[in-house]
Amino acid sequence: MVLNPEFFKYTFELGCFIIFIICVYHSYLSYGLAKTIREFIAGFILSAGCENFGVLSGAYVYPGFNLYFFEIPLANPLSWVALVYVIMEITNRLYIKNFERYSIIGGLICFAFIDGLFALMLDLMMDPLATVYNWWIWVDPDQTKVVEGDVLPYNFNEITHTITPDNWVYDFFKENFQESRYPTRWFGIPLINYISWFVFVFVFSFQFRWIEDRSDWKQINKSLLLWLIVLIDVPILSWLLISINL
Amino acid sequence: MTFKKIFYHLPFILFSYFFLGLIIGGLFAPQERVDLLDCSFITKGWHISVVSSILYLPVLFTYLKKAKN
Repeated sequence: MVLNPEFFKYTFELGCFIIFIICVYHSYLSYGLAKTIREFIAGFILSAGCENFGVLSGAYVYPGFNLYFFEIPLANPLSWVALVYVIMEITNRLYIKNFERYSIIGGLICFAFIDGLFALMLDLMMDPLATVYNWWIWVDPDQTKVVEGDVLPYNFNEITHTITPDNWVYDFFKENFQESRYPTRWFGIPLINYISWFVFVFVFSFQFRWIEDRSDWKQINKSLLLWLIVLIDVPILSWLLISINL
Repeated sequence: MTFKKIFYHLPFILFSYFFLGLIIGGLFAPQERVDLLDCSFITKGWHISVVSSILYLPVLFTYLKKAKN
């Protein structure tokens, strides 16, 4: 059968790359080069930074992919930023008629909240499916990191990134998980994962929309500020969301 | 004209593609892997497909309604 677990493993990686390219091209044609570069680089920094901290902390692993960016598959941050672009575009089409009419409270927070909800809706079933098809595997609640035997390489050949490597990030966070790690599970997935999805998209969407709302700023200033903000976001959000042991 | 329409609606088409992947993926999920979730709500692969559809349909209807206006 064509639609077997190997197919879903390999097409996930390939599909992420294709969606990223389509979204970049769509953004470029719709908004121009400056805004496209600003948004996609910022999203990549935030996603890649926090995901790498997540893996190094022992929360999960991404086993058996072909192209990696440090500890995570390259497809992961690329598809995350593409997905956030898609979600923000849908929110814009559904709810925004004239952006300048909206205040920070009434508009930006509201739209970022909707973006976060859309992302959460998608992730509610994507994460269980990820466990099923070995896209990513969460730490067992009885352990503090992903150890040998947790990942069963039943649908891929490239045996790589199947355990948490020894590193200082894990040592930094392990005191938070003395008895169990992320014991509250929804659909077999840690509750903190769903909270994190919402928080990341909400924060990124709010910051990006706020900067895009500064119509009198130069493009380069907008880009530099957004990139600086997400660089600050990475350690703060990582520390906050990894250490909460719900 | 058709290209312009597809281009305008492309974000929603991609969003639908993500959900389509979840629905199809759920239908073909191996039972022994679904059991790993250890979840009383999702005990079969098609449960993932059904929940994905339930989450997706309201967005689809809202979008279609808005697109018509």
